[in-house]
Amino acid sequence: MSVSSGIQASFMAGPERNDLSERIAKAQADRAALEAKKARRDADMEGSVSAGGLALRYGAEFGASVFVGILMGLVIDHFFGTKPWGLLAMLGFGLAAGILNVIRAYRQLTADGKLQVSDQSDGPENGTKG
Amino acid sequence: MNLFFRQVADPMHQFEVKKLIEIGPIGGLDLSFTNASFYMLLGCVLIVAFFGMAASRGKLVPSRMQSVAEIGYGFVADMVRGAAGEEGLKFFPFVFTLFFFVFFANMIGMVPYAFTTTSHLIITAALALLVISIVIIYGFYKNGFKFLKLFAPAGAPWPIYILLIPIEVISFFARPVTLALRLFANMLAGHIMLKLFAGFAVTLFTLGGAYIVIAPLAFAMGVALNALEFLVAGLQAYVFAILTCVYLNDALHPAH
Repeated sequence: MSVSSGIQASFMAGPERNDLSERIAKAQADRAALEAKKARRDADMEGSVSAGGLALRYGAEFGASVFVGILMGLVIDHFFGTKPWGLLAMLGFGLAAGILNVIRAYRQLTADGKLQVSDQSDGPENGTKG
Repeated sequence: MNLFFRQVADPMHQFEVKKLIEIGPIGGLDLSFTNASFYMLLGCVLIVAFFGMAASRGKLVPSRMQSVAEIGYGFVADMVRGAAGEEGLKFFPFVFTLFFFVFFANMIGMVPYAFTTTSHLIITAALALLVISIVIIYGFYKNGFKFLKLFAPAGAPWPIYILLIPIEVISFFARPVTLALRLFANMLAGHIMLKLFAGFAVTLFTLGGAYIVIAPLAFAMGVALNALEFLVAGLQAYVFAILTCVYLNDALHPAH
């Protein structure tokens, strides 16, 4: 008689234990499959969110900069009486800032590897360090 | 019947602000208690009640409610630590309040017939202005005029600064605008979509005939959108809070 069967015999739990480990393996496999399915579903969901969310994100980023630029231009014109030069200059800066912000948003999203979440603030130099 | 359709199909009806208790103009300001005020108050009360109940019987082995509260605490604490560093933790109470206020407002909005406070630009704008005011005031308080380095990144030849500084200033002030706009637009668009699909399903059902066949499709879409909206409600609260942390980080460490 071999040693292992002797041990098994001494525990008297051979078949039962086999059964249990089988069940554990099966449960683990089931769980893994379920988890994989869930992850895939989450990823799909993220995809559908981020497609719309991304459009909104870039749009808001660009629009807000132009809006702020125009607002500052109007304020400058109002207080310094430089109509319409303040508005024109600040509109130009606003457009530039808008493009800069879209580039920053894009960089940050691709750097993170995940879409969603937000400005990882590398600070302003992010835009100038080509 | 016509009135019924108009009620069901009008997707903007849900965003109407109604006065619940009229508090007459005081100094030219209409201070009436509206449904928006009510749902904000409800959100605050729910937050206080939830965390009060969760924390009142603090145990080493937490109860279900206590562990949810602890997870919420840990989640926000990790977020602040990750985005603004250890120093940022002094703003933890602020970010925590902000996150749960927005989160509860969004979630209350998902209850049928409830009013979504965050779908109003004025409310998200007020929150965003609060955030940016804290960033500016704390930035100057902590760094003095070095805070202005935020607008003039080091390492550029001097003529570039003439172009760079206005651009940086504009993109700094665009932050509260995007912060407010994103939360507002997400909630508004989501709730309009929900209402449209739900109203579409109801209209098709009541029209009868062959329309009954398509009605379940619209209904299924409404159910799917509902799930999506729950995700968006959580996600947007998270985005709002993490952006706040990122901006606070600029106030804490302006030149990096």
